[in-house]
Amino acid sequence: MTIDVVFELNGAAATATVEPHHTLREALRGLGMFSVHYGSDSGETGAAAILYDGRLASADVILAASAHGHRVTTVEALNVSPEMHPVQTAFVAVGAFQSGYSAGAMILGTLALLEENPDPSEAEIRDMLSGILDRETAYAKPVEAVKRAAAVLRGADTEPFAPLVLDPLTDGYRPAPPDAGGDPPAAPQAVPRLVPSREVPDMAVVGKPEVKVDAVRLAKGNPAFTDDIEPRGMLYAKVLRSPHAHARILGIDDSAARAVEGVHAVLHYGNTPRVKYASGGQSWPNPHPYDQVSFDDRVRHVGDRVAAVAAETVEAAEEAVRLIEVDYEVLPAVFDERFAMDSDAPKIHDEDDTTHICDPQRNLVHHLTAHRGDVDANLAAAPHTFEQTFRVHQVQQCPIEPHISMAWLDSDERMVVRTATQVPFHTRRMLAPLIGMDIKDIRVIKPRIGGGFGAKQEMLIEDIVAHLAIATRRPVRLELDRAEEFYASRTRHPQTITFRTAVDDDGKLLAQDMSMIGNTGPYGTHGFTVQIVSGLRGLTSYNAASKRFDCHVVYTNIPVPGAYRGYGAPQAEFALEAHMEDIARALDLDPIEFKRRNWVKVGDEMDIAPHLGERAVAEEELDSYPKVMSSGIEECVAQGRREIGWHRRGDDGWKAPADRGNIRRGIGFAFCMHGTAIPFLDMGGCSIKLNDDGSFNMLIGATDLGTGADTVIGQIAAEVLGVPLDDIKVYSSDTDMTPFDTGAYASSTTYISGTAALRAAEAVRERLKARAAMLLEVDEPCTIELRDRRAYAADGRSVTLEEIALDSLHWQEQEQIMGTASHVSPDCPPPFAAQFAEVEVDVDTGQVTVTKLVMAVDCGVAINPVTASGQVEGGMIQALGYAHCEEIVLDDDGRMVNPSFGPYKIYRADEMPDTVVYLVQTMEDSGPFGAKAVAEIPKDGVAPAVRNAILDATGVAINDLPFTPERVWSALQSAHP
Amino acid sequence: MPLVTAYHRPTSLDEALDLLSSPGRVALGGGTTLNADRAPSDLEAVDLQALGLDGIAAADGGRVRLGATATLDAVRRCELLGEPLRELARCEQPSTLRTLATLGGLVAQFSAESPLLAGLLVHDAAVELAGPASERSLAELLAAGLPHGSLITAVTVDPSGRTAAARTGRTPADVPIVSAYGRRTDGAAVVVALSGVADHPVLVDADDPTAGLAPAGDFRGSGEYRLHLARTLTARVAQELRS
Repeated sequence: MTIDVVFELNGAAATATVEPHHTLREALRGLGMFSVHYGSDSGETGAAAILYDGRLASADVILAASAHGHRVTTVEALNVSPEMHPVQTAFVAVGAFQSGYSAGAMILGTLALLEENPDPSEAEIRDMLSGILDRETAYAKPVEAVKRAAAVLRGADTEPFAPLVLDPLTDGYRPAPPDAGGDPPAAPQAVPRLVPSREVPDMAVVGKPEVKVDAVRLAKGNPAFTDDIEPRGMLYAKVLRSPHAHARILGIDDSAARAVEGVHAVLHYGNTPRVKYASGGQSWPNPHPYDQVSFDDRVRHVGDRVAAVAAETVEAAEEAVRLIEVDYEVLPAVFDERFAMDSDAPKIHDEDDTTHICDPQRNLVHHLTAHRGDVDANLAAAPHTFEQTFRVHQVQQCPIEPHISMAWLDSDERMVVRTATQVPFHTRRMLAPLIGMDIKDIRVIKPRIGGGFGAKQEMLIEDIVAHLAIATRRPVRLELDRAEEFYASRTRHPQTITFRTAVDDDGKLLAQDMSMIGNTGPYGTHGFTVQIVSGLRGLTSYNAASKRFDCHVVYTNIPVPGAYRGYGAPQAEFALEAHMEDIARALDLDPIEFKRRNWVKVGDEMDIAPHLGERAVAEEELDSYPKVMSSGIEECVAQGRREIGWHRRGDDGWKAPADRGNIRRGIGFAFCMHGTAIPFLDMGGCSIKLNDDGSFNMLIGATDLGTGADTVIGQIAAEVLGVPLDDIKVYSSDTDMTPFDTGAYASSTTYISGTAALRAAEAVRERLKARAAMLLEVDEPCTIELRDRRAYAADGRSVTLEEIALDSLHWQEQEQIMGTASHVSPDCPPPFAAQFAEVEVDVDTGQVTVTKLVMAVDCGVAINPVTASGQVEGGMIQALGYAHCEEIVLDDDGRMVNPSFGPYKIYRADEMPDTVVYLVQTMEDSGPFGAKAVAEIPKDGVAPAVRNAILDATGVAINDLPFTPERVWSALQSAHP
Repeated sequence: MPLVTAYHRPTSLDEALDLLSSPGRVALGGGTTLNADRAPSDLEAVDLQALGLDGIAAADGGRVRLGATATLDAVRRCELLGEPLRELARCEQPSTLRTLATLGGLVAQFSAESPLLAGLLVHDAAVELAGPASERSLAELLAAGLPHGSLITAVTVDPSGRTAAARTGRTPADVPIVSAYGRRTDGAAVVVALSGVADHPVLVDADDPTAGLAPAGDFRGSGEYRLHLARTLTARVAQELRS
C-alpha cells in the first residue's frame, strides 16, 4: 500500500509516494534532498534534522505519512543562488565544519534559533545544538559560527576569524617561571591561540586560516557523500549477523530467503569462495595472520557475518535475512584478555588454514618483545621501584556516517566500489583476491566521508557489496545501521598494562618495563600494529637507561578491535602518565618537574622505536637511533599551566569550596608525545597540472576524513606556486584517477602527502619559471619568482600564470605543464603537547564533572591554524568520552547492551567543558614548511590528565577507565570507608 | 523502525478509540519512541496529531492543563509553569527530538529514568483519559498501568510551590542514573520523587526514601549504588527545601 503525502517542501508543494513505514528522511532523500543524512534510526544524531513547521526535528523518527500537510525545510532551501546565506558563510568562516555530514542540520537549527531570538545566549545556542551530535569539532566552532551569524544578521560588524597571536613565555628550551605571563589571554574558546616561532618565516598561504576548499559543498548540503548518488537498478544489501559470541555453523537453509519477492542473491559460506585475508587497511604485505574469510562456517563474536542478501528493497532484504535458517553449535566464549590464554579457555582459531598465529592453542596471536639495556639489573639496583597495573576498556569510533559502500560493474565490466573508506588503495588491493578479479579491474572511489577516526581504515564491507554485485550483476548498496556500527565494525583494543619503573634518588628514571596484554578480539586485523604503537608510545616519552616491552596479543570473542585515532597511544599514555604522576607523588615531587627531568628533549634518542614494528631491528644491528629534532614542550607547558591556573592546586579554598561541601576540585597534567607517520612505510603521491587560466588541478590519493587535509595540502601547493588557495582545485581520491597514497592514518597526511604535494608543486614551479624566462627573455630561470599569480623577473617585469598557460598550451613549444611526485619519509618527528584538565568531583556520589580542558600543542608549523585547532578540539572531546563516559558493555553472552547513542554516551553541545587550544610553533625541518602531525595527539593526554585531576581533588588514584560515577564512588569508599 | 503496515490519522477521539480497539494498532504521538524501536513487529500507526490534543492552558484551582500531544518543547516554553519544571522538559530530550516527543507519549512509556515524570509526580499530576476510564493521578497510573482501551488526552499539574532538584549522571546532560525532584508548598511537607530506582519514577518518603525500593542495577549503576544515590540526592533536595 502506498500513500501520497502532500506537504510544503522548501516553500513549494511537494508530493512523495511512500509506504506506511517510510520515514520522512527516506522520503526527502527520494525527493533529492541529499543534505538529510542517516546517522541512526532513532534520530539522536541529528544528521537528518530538518525544520518541521519551523522547528528543528529529526526526520529519522517522523513517519513520512505524518508529514502530510506540514511544512518542511531543508538546507537546500537556501541554495537559490551561487552565494551562500549569511548563516552558511558564518559556519564556513570559522571552520565549523569538518566532515560536514551534519552541516544541514546545524545551519537549519541556527536559522530557526535566530528567527526566534536574534541575539541568543551561548546556553541557548548550545541547547539548539544539543540534538546534533558532532564527533569532530567539540562544538566550539559551531557555537562561534552561530554567534557570528547572529551578529551579521543583526547588522553588526565582525572581524575575520583568525588566531590570537601570543608572545612566547619561554626561550623555547628552558622552563618558564611558575607565574610567567600573568592572566591568560581573553578570547572566545573557538579561537586558536598561536605562539609563533622566530624560525618560521611569514608566508602568503601557509599558516593562514584559509577557508576549506570543500566549504561550499558542505555548507550547501550538495551531494558529496557515498550515499548521495543512486545508480539505476540498485539493490539493497543486508547482513545476517551471529547472535552467538562463538559458534560453529552446521548448516544454512536459505531457501525461504531466496523465495522472498525481490531477493536476487543470498551469500554465505556455502556459496562463496574461501579466501583468507586480514581486513586491516595497511600496506602490503598486510601483517599476519590472515584469519578472516568473507563468509565462514564459524562465528566468533556477536555480530559476526553469517550471510548477506541483495534485494530490490531494504525491507525485502531484511525479510530475507530473517528467513535464513542457521543451525549453530554454540561454543564457549572468552571476553577478558586476562583469561584468554588460560588452558581451559576456548580455542578461537583452531582452523587449519590460518597460519602465523603465534600459539593458537593459547589464543596467542603475537608475542611482541623489544628491549634496550639491562632492565632487570637496573630494577634490582635502583633505590626506588614502582609497579602498577592499569586496565583500559573498549570504545567505538562513532563516525556519524556509518560504514556505507556500493558496488557495480561498469560498462567495461570492471568493478567500481564507491565507499566511505580511509584507505581506497589498500581496499582495492585487498579486495582483488576475495572477488577473483585483478587489481587493474577494480576501481575504488572515495567520496566525502562523514568521519572515520580509524574505523574506516579497514576493508570492512566492500567485499560484501562486490560479491553481491558479481552475483546479481546489479549495483548493490550496503549501509550499516547504528547498532551494527557499534558491534559489527571496529572498536578500540582493550588492554591490561603493567609498568615497572626504577628511579634514582635524583628523580631520574633508570628503567622502564612495560608488559601488556592486548585484546584483539576474534580477528587480528590491526592487533599487531596497535600494540606495537602502545609499546612505542609507552616507552619513548621518557629517557631511561634501559627499557623493555613484552606484549601478548590475544584472541577473544568481543566485537572486533581495529584502528581508532591514536592507535594504541591513548591506552599506553593513560597508563604511563598515571604511573609517572603516582611516582612523583610518592617521591614528593611536583609532577611536571618530575616528568620534565625525564621527558625526551631535542637531541635525545627515541631509543625503543627501531626495535618495534614491522621492520624492527635488534640493538646490535643498529648504527644509530632516530633523534628528536624539534620540541616546543616547554612553551606548551608554560602556556597551558597559565591557561588552566595551575597555581590553584595549592589553593585549599578553591579545591574545597566552602559553599559546596560535597565538591572537591582538582587539576591534572599529562605530557603527550606522538608520532608523525610511519617511517619508511607511509607513502603519498600527488599530481598537479596547469590549466588555461593559470589555475591548477591537484590530484591526490590522500583521503580527507573531514580533517581539512584537502585544504592543507592545497595550501602547501598554493604557497609554492604563488597563487591563492582558490586556484588549486583538489581532487581526492579515486584509484583510477589519483596517485597512490597509503591513506588517512598514522598522523601522516600533512607530513607525507603534503610533502608529495610540495615536491609536485616544485616540479611545476620549475617549468613555470622556465616558461616565464622564455616570455620575459631572462637567461636564468632560477631568478624568476612566483607570487600573486604572476612570475616576476628580478627587474620587476612579470607575466601572469594565465599568460604562461596560454602560451604553453596553445602557442609555442607546446607542453602540458605538470608535476608528479611522491614522498616517503625516513623520519617520524614527534609532535608534543601539554594536556591539562580541571575537574569537580562530587565526593558523595562519585560524579566527576570536567570543567575545562586545555591542550597546548607543538605540531611544528600549523599549515592552517583553524583546521589544526579544530583537530585538537575534536580529538580532546573524543578522548574525554574515552576517559569519562564511553564504554562498550557486553552481557555474559557477549551481546552489547548499549548499542545506541544515549546508553553509549558521547558528549553533546550543552554539556561541554571549556576547551582551549594553543598551537605552539616549532620548525621541523623534515616536514613541509615545518609541519608535524596534529590529528592524533589530542587523543593521548585527556584520560590521564582527568585521572590525575581526580587524584589532585580527592587523593584517590583510579587505574581503570572510564571514570563513571559508581567507579569513582567505589574508589572513594575504598580509600575513605 | 518497526514494520508499519498502515497509517491512520483519526480526526475525532471516538474514531481514534475505535481504531485503537483493534489489535496490532498503536497510538503515534511524536514518534520518537515508536519509530526508534528496532523490533521488527508489524503494526498499524494511529497518528493522534489531528485530534486537537496539543493545547496548553490554565485550569481550575491554579492548575495547568497540558494536552497529551503537546510536545516537550511546548512544555518547555509554557510560561504557566515554573522554570524548574520547564527545565525538566528541556532536559528530557535533545533539541531535535524534544520538538516531536509528546507529553502523552512520555507518560505512556512509564520511563523509569525520566526526571520529567518525577517532576510531574511531585506537582500532583493527574492524567485525563478517554475511553473506559476518565481520570486518575499520575502516581496511580504509573503503579497500575494504563487502563485497557484508554487514551491519554491531557495531564494537569499544580505548578505552585518551591522546588529543588538533584541528579547524578555520567555527564551533565546524561539521562540521570538517579534523579530527585522535590516540592514544598506553604505549610506542607516536602514531597520528593525519584527516577532510576524502580520500574517507573516513584514518590518517596523524604525522610526514608529507600523504604520499599529494590532497584535493579545496570551498567550505569548497581542496585546498591542507586539506593545510595536515592538517599544522598533526596537528602540534598529535602535540605534545600527545608532551609
